[in-house]
Amino acid sequence: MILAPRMQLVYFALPASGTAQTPFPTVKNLLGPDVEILGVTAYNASQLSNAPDGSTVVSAADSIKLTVVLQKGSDQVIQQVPYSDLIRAWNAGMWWALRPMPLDLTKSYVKNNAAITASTAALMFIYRLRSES
Amino acid sequence: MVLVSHMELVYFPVNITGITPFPLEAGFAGGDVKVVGVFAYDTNTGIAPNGLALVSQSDAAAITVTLCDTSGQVVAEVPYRDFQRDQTAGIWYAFQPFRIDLTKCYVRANAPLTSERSVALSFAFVRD
Repeated sequence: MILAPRMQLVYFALPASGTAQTPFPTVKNLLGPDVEILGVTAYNASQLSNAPDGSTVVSAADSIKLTVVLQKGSDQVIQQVPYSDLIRAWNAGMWWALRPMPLDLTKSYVKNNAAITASTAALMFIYRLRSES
Repeated sequence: MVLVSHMELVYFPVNITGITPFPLEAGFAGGDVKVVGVFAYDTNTGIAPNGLALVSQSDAAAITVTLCDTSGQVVAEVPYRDFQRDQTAGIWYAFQPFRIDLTKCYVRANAPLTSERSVALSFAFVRD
């Protein structure tokens, strides 16, 4: 079993467009060379109806229209993985444990593969600080 | 497998908007205690020992949880429902043990909640 040292929710607005690629925002706790990502999960409105800014999280029906790209430097380490595959509640509670690595969040994005209702993507990163490991 | 040596339920009325700090009298906030897990409950899975109704399932989906140690956020705005084992086939996040600083911990209502409801979370912890 992999222990979770730290966890951070990341949320950002998705447009309705059926072809949009929306980059992740920068998040203070995930910035810097000391941060290594160990896992990622995603949520739709069934698990989280509203993000901390009050915005409406993507619906279950729309969440299956999304894919996720996570990038480390020029390497797409997670390439167009379905958002739904990252939803723990839909996968018997299991989450993808990743080989520890830094991520370039601003090069990482969520892609709309069909039109959706404009809403918010919400993903949670499990991470560690190398200085603590 | 992570073995749990102690568990304690914490329950408190939740503000219908904004943040609600954790109560400070929990037994696991002492200096020799490290938190290894947390589990949340709604009205479908429990009632508070003082008889207060817990948040509904839909209200639980509007809540996020932030837990801190003395240096800052360890669990930052993670959905309450992601800590409900009935939603995750019983699988729970096993934390790397950390010393919790309850004075910095809170739950946040991200949308207006039903009034006069409580949140309830069990903390799994070990003693040094």
